[in-house]
Amino acid sequence: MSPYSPVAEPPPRVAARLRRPRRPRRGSALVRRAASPVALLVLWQLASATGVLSPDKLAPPAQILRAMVEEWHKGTLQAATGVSLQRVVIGFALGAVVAVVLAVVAGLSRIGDDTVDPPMQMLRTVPHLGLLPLLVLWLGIDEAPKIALIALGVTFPLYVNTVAGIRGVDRKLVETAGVLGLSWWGRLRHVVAPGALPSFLVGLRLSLGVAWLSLIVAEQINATSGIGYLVTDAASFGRTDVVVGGLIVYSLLGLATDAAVRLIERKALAWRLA
Amino acid sequence: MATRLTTTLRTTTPAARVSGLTRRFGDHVVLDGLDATVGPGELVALLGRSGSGKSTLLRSLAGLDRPDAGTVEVTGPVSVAFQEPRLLPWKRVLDNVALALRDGSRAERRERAGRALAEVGLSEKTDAWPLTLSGGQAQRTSLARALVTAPGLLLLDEPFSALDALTRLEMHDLVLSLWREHRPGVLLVTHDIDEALTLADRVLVVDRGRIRHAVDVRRPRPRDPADLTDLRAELLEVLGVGERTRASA
Repeated sequence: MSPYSPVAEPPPRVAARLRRPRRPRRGSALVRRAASPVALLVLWQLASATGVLSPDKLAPPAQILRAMVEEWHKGTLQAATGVSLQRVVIGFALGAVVAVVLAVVAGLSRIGDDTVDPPMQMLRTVPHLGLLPLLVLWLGIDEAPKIALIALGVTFPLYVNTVAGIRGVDRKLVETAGVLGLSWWGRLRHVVAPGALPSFLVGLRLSLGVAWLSLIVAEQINATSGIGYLVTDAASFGRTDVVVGGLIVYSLLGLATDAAVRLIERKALAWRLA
Repeated sequence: MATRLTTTLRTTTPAARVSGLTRRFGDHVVLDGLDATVGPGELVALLGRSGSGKSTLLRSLAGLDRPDAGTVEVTGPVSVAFQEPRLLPWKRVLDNVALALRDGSRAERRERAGRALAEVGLSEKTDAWPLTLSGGQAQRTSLARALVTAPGLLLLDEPFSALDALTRLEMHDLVLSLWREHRPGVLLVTHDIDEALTLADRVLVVDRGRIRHAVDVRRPRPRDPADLTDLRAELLEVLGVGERTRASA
């Protein structure tokens, strides 16, 4: 699944359980599943070599790889990746802090819920990418609107899932923690937080996907650095190899953060999969 | 006004004493000036139909429910084991038990929790996740968690009703041996007459918000339900099912 997909994926084990039990078959599964993508790549390369596919429209895979290696040696690829990564990290951190604070306020108190939840549910329906022109008007054309767009995109999916997680915590367990003599803070730490964690992690994966998507959109406009700049600059010179290479870097970054959250899920939710 | 007192003088004062306990939910009077006592180290069973107020009484003693009037005196610490084990699924068995302890270092708390688990026969499950336990094992963990604080009053809210018959009998033996070892005052809420009669020193029948009947079970343990048919009939009579049972017998 693409990390940008707006649909939550069930936790890996559930998906595995729904699938029919795997029977041992001849040949490695990896080889079988890799066959068709490799075939497509070969077909692509052949189409370019025979002139069916013009390099002005789409460069062949080998040339994309060469261009990327070249950008790497010039240092531009690393620099661009660093700038883009920094935007996502700052924007994501801002959005995540806002989302978690608001979710805790809404999830833990009635007044907080009545105050925070209605506007959040209303704003959630606004397609945040459409706010970019406004953000540019408010914040100018430098880093600020880009980071704000990412932060906005992150806030809502993370808020919604975290609130749902907090509300879904078994009240009987909270009550039991009270009987055991745990303080308000102890109940929050030992019961509410771990109880809300599975839902929070779902929100985390969704919001990271939105963060990358927001970055890509934000970097299309007025960027003077970053992967988006690399791509638009290359496009103006007809360098489709660099354009596609930039897209590949975007997806690799998205896959990397998604894999990181999956790893956290596997470690932190070991109790559930046991 | 309702008042609540907690003491720790467990040898002289009753484990629990309530008087004039009243609780209303809207117009519905659940507890109607109820008086009851659990002596120090006494095992009392509380029988009643659903809706009789027995759970509300237990929740008042546990401090989970605030009565509208009356006094509640308990000898602390007070522990509760519920019908469902209510373990935190994200904490390993040992940490679930240690969670009940406030005093001492983390190592000391874990050490005490380990001893409590050994007492209920779960030493080899200390590192297990609760979701991997059987129903009986989970309920034994819940008992260990309730006993690890050395309670003056142990409240058992139908803790065996979700278990299969064989496991339930094992749990009865376990509860009796733990009770003999630690001597907390015990209030066992149940709707199983045989369970009440085989375990308790005294059986109280609650109905319409008051204790309507008390039976002293002065029989040596272990008890065989077959030897308790006279008391059983008495309790069935009080609970209003005597006629029907006799007719069908």
